[in-house]
Amino acid sequence: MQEQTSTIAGAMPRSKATVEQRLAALEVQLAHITTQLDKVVAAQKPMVDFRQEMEPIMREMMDASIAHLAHLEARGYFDFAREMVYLVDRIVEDYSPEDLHQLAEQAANILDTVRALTQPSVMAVARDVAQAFEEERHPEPQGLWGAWRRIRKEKNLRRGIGFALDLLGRVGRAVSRAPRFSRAEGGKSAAPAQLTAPRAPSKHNGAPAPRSSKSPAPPEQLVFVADDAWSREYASGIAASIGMQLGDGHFKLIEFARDDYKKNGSAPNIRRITTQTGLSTSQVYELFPRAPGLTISRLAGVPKPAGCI
Amino acid sequence: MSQRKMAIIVAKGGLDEIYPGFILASGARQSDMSAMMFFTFYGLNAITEDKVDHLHVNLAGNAANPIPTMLAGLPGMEALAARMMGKKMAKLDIPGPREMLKTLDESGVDIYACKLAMEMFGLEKKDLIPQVRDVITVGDFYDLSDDARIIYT
Repeated sequence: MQEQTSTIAGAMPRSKATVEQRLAALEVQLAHITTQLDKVVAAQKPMVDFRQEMEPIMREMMDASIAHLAHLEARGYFDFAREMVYLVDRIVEDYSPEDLHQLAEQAANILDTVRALTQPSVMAVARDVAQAFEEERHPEPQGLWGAWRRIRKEKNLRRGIGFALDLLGRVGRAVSRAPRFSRAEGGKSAAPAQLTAPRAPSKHNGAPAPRSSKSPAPPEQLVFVADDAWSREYASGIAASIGMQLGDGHFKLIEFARDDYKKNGSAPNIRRITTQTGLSTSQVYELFPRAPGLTISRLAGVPKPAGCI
Repeated sequence: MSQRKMAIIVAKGGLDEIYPGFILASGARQSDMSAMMFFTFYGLNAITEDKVDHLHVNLAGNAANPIPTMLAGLPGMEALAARMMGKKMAKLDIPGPREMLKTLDESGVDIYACKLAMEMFGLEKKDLIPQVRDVITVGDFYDLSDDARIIYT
């Protein structure tokens, strides 16, 4: 753009027209900036409103706490201070700076939760429930039989049970999803669920004891080898690497496994191989003496055999 | 690494009590381990020629069984349960005990019977199914299962 204007300026003397053009461009830019500024101010407004609304509340809170402090002072200021020191001590002892940092990161989450809890519909239910406390002064003791009768009679009761069960289901889901707090790790791995649990005492901070002296090797995964990649030579290559020489008998089983997998979506186990091909188990073991099912699957380029037999 | 080895002891003769051993043994062979089975006490029923086809399912005193123990004790209940289980197994293409033992033998599982229990039940080698390799004592069992992992079912 700059280049353009300079070439224009160099090509011809500064006429009134070019100056006006540039002025017009500037005006457009100015208008754009003004709208941006409006947006910024508009965005600021909720903050200002929030502060204005909060101010009386904060003042109230301050007043209340000051009054409370004064009251405490009258009863014994030093006792209170001592308690405060103890409280701070406990907090410092039980929570690490990381915990507080996580708390700050979760602030938006916490506010969301509070907002969800204070929706009018939720509040209406809460008010109704609270009213029940006012009205039901002397509820009848209810046995199992009575409860059953009432459940049969009252539709609302059934509905409430349904809702409670749904709620429990959700709680269960949430619990199973939430990462577990591990005391052995000292709460170091960042996870929101750890906020609720205090830091483990230092004596438990050591490394977790290993579960077993040696962990088993991860099981071998076999995947389907597509038709254009699989051939008898492919199978023979793998067989040679485990010291096997493949003949027609071998290929009968290997190709059966491949066809069966393509037909049924699962690799055949020995039982299926013997019943479908007519070979006896001992013949299969003669052809493939070591782990026949797995070996056939590997050579046929199909996943591990399904089933236990 | 030398080949892993499993020794599976079957001491009970219910249909539901012998199959875990069968599956473990056949699974061991399929996982390239050597495997032996040692049948003792009521487990001998599973390898006795005239009992192997008439094994029952333990119903009474079985907490996991949905039929109340009082009913489960009635005559014929065990046979009924065995028939139901047999049907289900046939549907899933699980071979019956006799065929299973034959398959195990063919896959290279060594099948042994306990000498002491045979004497207690008055059995002889000829009363057992042909797949039984030998009648052995506990000392023989320990010799044969040397280096093996022993599973008691």
